Amino acid sequence: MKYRVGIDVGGTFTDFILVDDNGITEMYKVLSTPKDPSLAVFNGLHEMAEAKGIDYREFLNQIQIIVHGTTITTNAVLTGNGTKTGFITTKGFRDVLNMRRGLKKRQFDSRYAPPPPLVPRYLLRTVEERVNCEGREVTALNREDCMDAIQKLKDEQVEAIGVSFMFSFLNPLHEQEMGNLIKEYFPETFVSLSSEILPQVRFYERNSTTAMNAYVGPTLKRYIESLIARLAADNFKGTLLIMQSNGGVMSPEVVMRFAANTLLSGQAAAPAAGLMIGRTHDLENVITADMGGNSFDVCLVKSGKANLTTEGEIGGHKICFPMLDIHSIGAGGGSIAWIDSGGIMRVGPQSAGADPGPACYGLGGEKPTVTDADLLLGYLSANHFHGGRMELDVEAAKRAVYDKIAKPLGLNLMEAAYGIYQIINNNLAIGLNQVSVEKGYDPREFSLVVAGGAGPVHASMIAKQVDIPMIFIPKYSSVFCAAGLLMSDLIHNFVRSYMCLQNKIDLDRLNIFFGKLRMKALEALRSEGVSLDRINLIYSVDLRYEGQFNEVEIPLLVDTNGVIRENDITSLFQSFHQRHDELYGYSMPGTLVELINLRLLAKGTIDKPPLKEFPFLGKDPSQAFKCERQAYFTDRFHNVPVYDGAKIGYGNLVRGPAIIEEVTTTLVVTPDYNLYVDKVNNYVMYRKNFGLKKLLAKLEGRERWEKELIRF
Amino acid sequence: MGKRIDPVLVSIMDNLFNSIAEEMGQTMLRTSRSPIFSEAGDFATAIVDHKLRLVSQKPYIAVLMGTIPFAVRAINKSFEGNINEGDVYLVNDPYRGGNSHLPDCTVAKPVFENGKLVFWSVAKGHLADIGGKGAAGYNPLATNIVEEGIRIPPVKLYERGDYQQNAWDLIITNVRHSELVEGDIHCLVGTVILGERRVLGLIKKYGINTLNQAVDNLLNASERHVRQEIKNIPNGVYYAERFMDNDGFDRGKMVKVGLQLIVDDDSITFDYSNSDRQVKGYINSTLANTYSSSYLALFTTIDSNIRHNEGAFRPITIIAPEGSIVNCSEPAPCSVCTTCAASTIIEAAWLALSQAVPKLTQAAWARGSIPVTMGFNPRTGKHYSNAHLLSKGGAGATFGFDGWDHMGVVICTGRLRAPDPEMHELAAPFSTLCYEFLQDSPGAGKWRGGMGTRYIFRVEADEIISNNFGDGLLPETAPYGLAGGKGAASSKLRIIKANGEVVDPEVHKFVTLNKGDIYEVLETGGGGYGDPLERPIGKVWADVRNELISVECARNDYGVIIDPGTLKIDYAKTDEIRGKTK
Repeated sequence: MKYRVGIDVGGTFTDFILVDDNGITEMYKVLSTPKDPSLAVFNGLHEMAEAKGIDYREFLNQIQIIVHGTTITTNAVLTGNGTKTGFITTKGFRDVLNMRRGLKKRQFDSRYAPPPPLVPRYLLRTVEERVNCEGREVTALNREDCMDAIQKLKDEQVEAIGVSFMFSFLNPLHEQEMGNLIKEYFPETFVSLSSEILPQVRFYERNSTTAMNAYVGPTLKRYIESLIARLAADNFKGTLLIMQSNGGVMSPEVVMRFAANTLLSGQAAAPAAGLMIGRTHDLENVITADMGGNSFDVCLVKSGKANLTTEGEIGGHKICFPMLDIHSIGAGGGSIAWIDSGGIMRVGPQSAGADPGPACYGLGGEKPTVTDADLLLGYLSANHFHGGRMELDVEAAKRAVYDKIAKPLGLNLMEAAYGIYQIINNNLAIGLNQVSVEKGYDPREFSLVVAGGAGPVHASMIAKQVDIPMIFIPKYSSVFCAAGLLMSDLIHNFVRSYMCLQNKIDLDRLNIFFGKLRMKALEALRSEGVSLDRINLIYSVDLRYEGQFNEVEIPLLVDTNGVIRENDITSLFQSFHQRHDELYGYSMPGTLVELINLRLLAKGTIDKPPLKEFPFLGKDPSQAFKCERQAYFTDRFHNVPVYDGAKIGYGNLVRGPAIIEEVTTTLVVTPDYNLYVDKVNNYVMYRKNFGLKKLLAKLEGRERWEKELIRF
Repeated sequence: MGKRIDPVLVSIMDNLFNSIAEEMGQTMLRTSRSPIFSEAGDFATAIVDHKLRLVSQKPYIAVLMGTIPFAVRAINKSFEGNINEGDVYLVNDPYRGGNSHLPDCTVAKPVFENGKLVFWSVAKGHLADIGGKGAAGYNPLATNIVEEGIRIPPVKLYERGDYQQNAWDLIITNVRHSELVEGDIHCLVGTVILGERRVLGLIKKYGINTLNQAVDNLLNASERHVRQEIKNIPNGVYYAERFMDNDGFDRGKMVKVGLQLIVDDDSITFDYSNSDRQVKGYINSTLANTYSSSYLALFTTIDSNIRHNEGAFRPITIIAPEGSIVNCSEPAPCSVCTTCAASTIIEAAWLALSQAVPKLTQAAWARGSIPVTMGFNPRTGKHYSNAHLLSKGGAGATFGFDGWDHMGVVICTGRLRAPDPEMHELAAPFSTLCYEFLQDSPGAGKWRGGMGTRYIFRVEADEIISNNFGDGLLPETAPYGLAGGKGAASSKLRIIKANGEVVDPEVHKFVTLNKGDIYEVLETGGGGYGDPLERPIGKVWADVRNELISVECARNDYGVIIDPGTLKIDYAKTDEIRGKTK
């Protein structure tokens, strides 16, 4: 047997998904080992071998591919435990990195401190050199300054050095020379040159990305090198791939150079997982929503492509590598309900976390949380939380909600609990709107894919608010990202600045620039063993109206040879006007458009594991019926059937209101929704007025629905 | 009091109204073209109800937080009885339009439901140019508002959905960079249309009656919230005064803002009766600006989570005599009121508040000495104008926290994004020679002020007109410290001409810059808080190692003796000095 393994390291658990040649999928969870995350990786591999009854070394031998999502760099930044890093920049610009463009986010709050700098000022060195805004050298690189900077940083025993000079994206010679000197005189240090990792305009943003890359580089390198060595020693002969923030995977050799590319890779597999579920039914438009204890992460995938952003931020520092545009809001099961001094009820952003956690955990928490409300409303069961591993304290939840919310507001207990549920749902719906409506997309054209422990409890209410008719809840909701790892392709992003006005475009130069990006792209994928027929290059250009300060990335459609012609450019500008209108409510077709950056996304398609189809059980779900319980909707309790997720199967139809209990989550089907189980055993909730026929036509294809599912 | 409705619904409405203002703000940020607008974020967005009450807003530049209702009231008054569905209004005049100063244009669109006006969607921002003789809208020679640019009383840009060519032409014809200005007005219009669309969505979903009730309730809630906060300020009468450097004409005379702050249980009065009369130059403050600055001072001191709507303003009374520096009368010029006068008002208010609630108040921020330049850029072949916001100074410290570095003028409360140094050179004919923290610039304290900036540039073109619309060049106007913290030094300016001659550009004065001239801004840091001798030795040492302060400063201000060569601390001497002085 041949296996594929997805390994996703999370804060509490490290999730594994194991898929064999027949598409049989199993999930495993082991406790994470934050000090050395690779311990959990090997613990999991051992556990899987044992469960399969295969010798561990033989099991590793049978693994074809491991796709690994790691949070090692993220944690290094968030805990301030990155490498001791030096930074060398142009004389006169020592503090651009730490000025952070002089921004403070919470404008009215005077009582908080700025993020600590990645590089303290004594490790920021400057050298005399200057290139002007036309890319011409106006001051030669002062070699003495360079040697002095290197010596100082060597004395300070830095492990990594970032180098970023003014206008190096136009003329990288000084940076390259600096890089060579470092390699010669301080070879053991990790070097990151801005012209190599992000050759695009905007000095602070380039500095920050470069410094970040240096800051996490050695940490990632050590981790991956030791992982590779140990896997090899344990008889693994397959391919190891690492997840990046852009939603694609990369070989370990490349990822070590672009370490900052892994900073937001934690949730980056979610869109691929969401798309996998959508594609089971030929749906290419999905919004993924992952709701855990503290956060709600949303990502929009349109026509099979997730949006990327180059305005990422982590720990208060900018990072401008293209990364998935995952919108995160501080709302989850642990969000605390409270009343502000004006008497308005609020939910979040403060969270009770895991300890003490919601009041109902019985760990001493006294503040009412979303989970407490969900329990009182009957959505969660006191003795089935986490598959019964944890008994919930209903009385504690009652006390918290009554004392802190109901009594002061003059509501009864259930009104208060339902209020918490409604307010959090509204906050989540605002989050969904921010990635869809506010970005010019109509949510009605999308399906919502919901994951995470708390997500399925709230999914149908949120979807109703933003008018999404269909919600998918994957069977493997709780190891969603691990599953997504195996569905991801190799992706590399390339960029270069080409600042010029619409009427001054030199088509030959444009072709040369893109030609160079194309060569780099092909080379990168070829080095990862991707054959030409599996390579897909996506061209785009950052555009803005002359004088604007923010760009919009617009795809540039070119022929297969990558040759750009006059009319490709014409349609590029047409798309820009249209997209500007979608995004911001107006366009100015008579105004000149300005090019800023040229971008190329290179994708190498990887074989995906097959999905196993399950036997058709018919619409009657009674085999999975567990019991009835009281659940509160709108203004009263209803008697609601509860089903066992382990026994429910393909074709089963459940009318709302109803509850499905899975081991790690609970699905609440509100009275407006019904639920259907599809052929790969994923749950589909749909609005009652949407209609089963329409749903099945959409999910199963008209032909199949009319022929095979006629039994409905 | 509004009728009691479901408190859950009120909370939901409050969040939804705020998310609309936020989304409008995002649109402004991403599509505007005036650099002051998009890079610096000099704009605000808001939803106002049919009773002209501010329901929700997103003031990117905090000092715009109280101005929008003034403009909407002026529009409403001008066109009463003739406000129709599909209209879009624009106004920029402070005297006829309730605006703060001419460069800020307010665009408003009434939102109708079944033929009835129910809300207003409003956006306000600083345009790239507003005509007149000023650089980027600031004319230090103006003695009458008509010299500051085109005055636009409330006009219709659209009437019942029809584009009003005559109004647009009149505006566009009277400004420089007309294509940028036209783009920015489009951006404002796009923003209010978006706001309207979202409000209509809410009406469709919840019904207008529910929305109106929710608005009553949420405004009352904000009022209660603020009253609760004011109750925590000890009752009393607190007096403070602060000065502006000069009005650009009578250069020897500082101009005073005198404030008597009266805290009475759950309400607060800002009485500016003891301020100077209005002056000849453009530093006069309009009423809208004085209101806004007072609100800003209070809301940066009390709970920062308060929603800044009409209800939150109810407990606040402002007394500003007509014809004074804080409520100038037509036709006084007033274009720099949003920086100079506003900063001075905020400083006076914080200084008064510090007597009542010292632990909640901030020391003063650097005033901001910002060259605004305009001219022809031979490299791009285009005329340009911009403000050199690379010169942002430090913020004041407060109890428990050092001031933030490179924050800039206090009116923006930290939302003023510095230009990118590369973008700056690509657009304008300058080479930046130095853009770094200014050593020893912050006021010393147990918590020190934020770092100021050493900003030096060389001019790369001839005939560039420059005006420094700054303040804070005098010891009296430099940032003050609080609770034993020291103030910062005043900022310093000079121009070294290509021929070696050194010129003092002063503030509020046109100077012509030519190729090869070097302009130097030493922008100061923020004021310190608490006794500097109580600053932990380790922190002082780290500042020395980071070359943020010198060993001399460590010794003189903080009583910490550090060897300049080895950076070793002489603990014996340090203890001696720190012990003795205490």
